[in-house]
Amino acid sequence: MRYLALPLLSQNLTESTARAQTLSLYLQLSLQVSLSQRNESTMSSSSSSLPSCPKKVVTLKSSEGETFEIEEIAALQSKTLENMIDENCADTPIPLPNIKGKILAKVVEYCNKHAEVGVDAESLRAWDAEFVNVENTTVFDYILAANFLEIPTLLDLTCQSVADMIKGKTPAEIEKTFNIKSAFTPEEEEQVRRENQWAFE
Amino acid sequence: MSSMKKQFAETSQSSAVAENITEDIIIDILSRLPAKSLMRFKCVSKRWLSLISDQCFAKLHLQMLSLETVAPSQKIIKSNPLQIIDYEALDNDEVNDHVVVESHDLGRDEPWGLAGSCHGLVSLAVYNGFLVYNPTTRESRKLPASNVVATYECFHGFGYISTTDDYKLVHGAFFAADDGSVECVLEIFSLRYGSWRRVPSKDVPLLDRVGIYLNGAVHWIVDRGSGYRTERAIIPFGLATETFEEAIPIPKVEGVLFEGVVIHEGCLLICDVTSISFEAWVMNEYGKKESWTRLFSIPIDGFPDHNFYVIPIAYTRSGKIVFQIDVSEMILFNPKDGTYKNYPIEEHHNVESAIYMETLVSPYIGHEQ
Repeated sequence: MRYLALPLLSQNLTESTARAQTLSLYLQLSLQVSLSQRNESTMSSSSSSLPSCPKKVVTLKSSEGETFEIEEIAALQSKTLENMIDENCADTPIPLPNIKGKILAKVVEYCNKHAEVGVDAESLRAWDAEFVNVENTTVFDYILAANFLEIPTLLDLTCQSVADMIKGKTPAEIEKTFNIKSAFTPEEEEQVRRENQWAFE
Repeated sequence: MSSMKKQFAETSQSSAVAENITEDIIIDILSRLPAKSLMRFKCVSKRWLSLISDQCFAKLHLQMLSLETVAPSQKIIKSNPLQIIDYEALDNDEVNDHVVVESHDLGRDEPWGLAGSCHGLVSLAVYNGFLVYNPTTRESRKLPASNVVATYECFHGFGYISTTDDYKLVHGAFFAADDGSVECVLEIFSLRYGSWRRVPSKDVPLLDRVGIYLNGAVHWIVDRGSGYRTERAIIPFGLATETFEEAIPIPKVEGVLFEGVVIHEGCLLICDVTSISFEAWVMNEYGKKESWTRLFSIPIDGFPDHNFYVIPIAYTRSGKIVFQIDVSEMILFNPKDGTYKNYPIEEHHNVESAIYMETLVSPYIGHEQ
């Protein structure tokens, strides 16, 4: 699996970060910068030393009302949460009415794991592989959560997982997986099939 | 890509998708699929047919391919007769000794040679012009003949220019001028603008048939200088500037005459098979002659007899190399132990082969069909 900060498609696609570890390091660095910026008035020296701040925690509320705590540093992996933290909207529990508790718990677990320092790439890859080794419906739930919370690495991981799962399927199986009602008449479908028949060999 | 997102959002139909999966997520997932799978999925729904046939999506898909850490799905195309060879399947021990081959029939446009390969588009030399063909989608576009006389002494190149989002086909030939010197005539066809143009060409070294595309230029191995001072070098032809650029010297190795150039992990790789060894060097940093690094120098025992040439074509995921031997054989060579397996190939006469990526790129990029 590859890790790249795959942004939403409206942005420039040519950028890529190869490792989640690098991304997490970058996030920690940017946290240091933003922390030192916030403490500008109280700091006398340059931003080379990290001020000793208490670890800030963000509270998230699932669709059923269950609350989950996540350290700010881990929460920064979500662009949505990062924006809220920057605008000081993260001091009260953040309601996430479209994410169930079961899924939110796992997303928090993912962010925590990817915010950890000193994890080697190989074991992180293995951990990620286990993370998406779940039922299809759950992976789709992760995708929706990652999309809403704008967590690029999780979106990349889950979309790749779905892609790997469907690449060998028949069109009929795809329709079932994605719950698509085919808009083709039998004759239209036959024609498309015929034009692309070699792809079925 | 935001225009593509907008386009699909505006005409959003009620093709109900599981758990509210939105268009841009579907696009993200589909852009990671192999081209072959996507061709099959055109049958899934009108929405998917429209998306997969869209050239913006094809470009996105191509970009995703270049981000892959694993080598993208590639096949070999050969001429005379026109066939596709799945060389990764060759590498699979379960397949027995016949080559996994697919015949492509282009009717009257059966090519006599290949003119270059880039982004999944293969340029074919046919008897009254050229064809730009995508073997994965089977879409083809006929190009008119250039004003350069097509002979076996002509040379070709094909590649992409990112600044203009265009593909160009280079067709050149050498002929003897009245004063006995060798002159070169060069024409270029732009897929986007749709016509041949004569391009000035002075002091062009003698080039072999087909150049290899990399980084906006087509590359050939040439001899420079003369007599005892002959040196081998790689000469790039810049597709944007339409000129030959500074030659890149290649390493001098005793007893070795580098003849084959291929792309290995995004770098130029040169190799030679002598009577006793296989030698391969790779240029890790493009353009920097100091970055030439020896990749292999292994003794080989009983390499197949060849009369004319040994051409490297592809590097498999497991690190084996596919060679074309003369016109009748392909071999899968394992550089780790010097062993090989051979596969006869069908040949009517002069076989040329090239590697191509499986993409959805259309030969009609931007141009009216």
